[in-house]
Amino acid sequence: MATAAATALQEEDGYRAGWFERLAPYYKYLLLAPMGLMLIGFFAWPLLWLFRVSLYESRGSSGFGIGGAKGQEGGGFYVEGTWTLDNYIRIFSDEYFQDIMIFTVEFAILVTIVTMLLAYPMAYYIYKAGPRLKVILLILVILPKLSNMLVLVYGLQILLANNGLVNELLLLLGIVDEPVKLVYNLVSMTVSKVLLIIPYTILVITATLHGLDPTLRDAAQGMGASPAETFFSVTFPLSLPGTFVALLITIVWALGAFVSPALLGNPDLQTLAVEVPKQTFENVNWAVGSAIAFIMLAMMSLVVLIYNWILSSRMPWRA
Amino acid sequence: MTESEPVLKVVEVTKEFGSAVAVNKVSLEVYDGEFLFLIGPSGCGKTTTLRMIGGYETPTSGEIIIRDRVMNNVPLDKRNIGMVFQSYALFPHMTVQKNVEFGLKTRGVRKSERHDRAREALRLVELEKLEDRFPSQLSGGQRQRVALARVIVYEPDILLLDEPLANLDKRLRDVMRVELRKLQEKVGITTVYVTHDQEEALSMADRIAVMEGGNLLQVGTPSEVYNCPQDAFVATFLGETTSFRGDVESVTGDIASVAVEGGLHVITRHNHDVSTGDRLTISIRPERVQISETPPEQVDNVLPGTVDFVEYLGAHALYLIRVDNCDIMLQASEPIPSGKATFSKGSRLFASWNLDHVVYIRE
Repeated sequence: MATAAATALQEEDGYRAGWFERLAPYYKYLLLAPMGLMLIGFFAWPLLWLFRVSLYESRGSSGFGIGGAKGQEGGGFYVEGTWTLDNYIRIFSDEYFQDIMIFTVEFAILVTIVTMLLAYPMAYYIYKAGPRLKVILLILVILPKLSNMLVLVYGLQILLANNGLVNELLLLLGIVDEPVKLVYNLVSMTVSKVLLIIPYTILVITATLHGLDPTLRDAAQGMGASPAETFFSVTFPLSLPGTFVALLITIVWALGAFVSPALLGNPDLQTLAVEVPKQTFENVNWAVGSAIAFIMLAMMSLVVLIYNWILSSRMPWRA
Repeated sequence: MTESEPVLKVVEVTKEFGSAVAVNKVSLEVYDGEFLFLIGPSGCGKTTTLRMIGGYETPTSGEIIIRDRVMNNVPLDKRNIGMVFQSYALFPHMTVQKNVEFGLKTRGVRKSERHDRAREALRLVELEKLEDRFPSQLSGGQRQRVALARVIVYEPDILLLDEPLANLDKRLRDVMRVELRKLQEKVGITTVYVTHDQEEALSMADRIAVMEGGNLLQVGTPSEVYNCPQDAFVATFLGETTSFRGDVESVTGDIASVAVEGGLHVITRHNHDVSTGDRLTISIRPERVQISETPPEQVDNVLPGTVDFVEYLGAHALYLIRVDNCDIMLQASEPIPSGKATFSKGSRLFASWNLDHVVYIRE
């Protein structure tokens, strides 16, 4: 009481808080500052710079001998001081890039379909499992993510090789007479990409299912719905928003596929992500490399936009 | 009502969770069109009993019989029961109309008939204009009505209500109480209602079953369980009461005199089931105690005392009275149409009550 009165008195006497006190409401933003500066300095700024690079004129040639010192005639990775959309136009009109773009989308769709078909039943099984089995299954799902990605991919290379475990098993069982080519083609690419993504997909769907109100299932069955009817009319539709998040993660990740096509694919099955370093480092064409990177970014943003549209217009009940 | 066969029979039902006994040999019969309340404090086993009737739990022993059919092993989707949950459990992704049609759809009712019957049920709960809304767009009271319409639409054998009004505010709860009772009468559906709210039970029930610690203590009409509780817990759980312990000193005809701890003597009517020396718990409801400035005539128990505390409750005043020459506090309530309490703290008065209003429970 006494202190409050004293403060009031001080204010009446023209007491003014110092700058330190006046800024007090903004101190909470200091908590954001370390991460914020990190994102601005190492993500936003380079990204903007990369966008600028994609709008420079490219040197237009490839091979050795270019990329000399900056400022030299014929040097640099792009023509400084220029503004042009030529890189984008070239990528969209050149059949070479068109094929890569189409394949990237096709591959992403294939990977997403396979991943979702494998992930949803697995997630549902985990959701239904008893507490102990649930923990074991979740650990099994996360385990591959704890190992190095390259170890996983090279391991797969060995497993799927002509004299690998899979082929030996197929031969042993008499399913095939000679080894099937499983590696350096679409099979090995898809298998590895699915394996890299699926833990996240399963975890997101499992979390979604656990977030559903179990009394809704009780209510449905109490009203005469069989377990199957309950799943298809209540559990599955209610899991869709979260399942779409899982799908979003999967498709965005699949669009950026790099390791699988680079290590387990072949030159005919290349994606945009592989093309970026190829243009940038092999052709020393930073402008085109940057433009490809931004086209990938646009594709992923488009997927996110479509996702938002589906949520807002197709699922009005979430409002 | 009682001459017809019961729709629901709960026979010696016990439910154990591990070593804990949630429900202990409960037997209960509910008749056609009856509104039965299961009431008790939290953890008394009332909800578990309800869930066993609904098929959400399996009894450890005993039988649940609905329309002469033992239901213990019948899965819940094969029982014709309507359960309203405390959280309503409406399907958030379906409109009100689709929610109400759900139980008809699972029964294979044709689309056009489904539509008409759902409309009829929504009309009954006065929600016919909101059929295209989603549950998230409804108020608490409206959700409650959808939850009701959703089960009465398929005409279940029994309606089960699990604290259906607990999530509503006081005012709405009072309104819904009347509406629910009216609706139940209109539809004529056999109903079991679980609550811990004694006011709800007393005002709405045909019969009340009081449970405590997994045991069923007493079943009876509201006035039976309120006026003639057969158990000390029932007496204290339903309504306010002042209880004393005492020993029977003498018995004359159907009147007994009881010496209460603290040096008080109370006379009560009895059913020829007490004899001298018995130990009894004596209860008197505050509203059965009359208070006056002068000693009343022709009243059996009269005690002089001093007002120790006055609780003003608007419609009535509740006095805590210190009885002269003994260590006993008595509660008395006085209706106050004038809006003012007659006595104040320290007032001298006489508290009296008729011997018929004394409730005794043998220990």
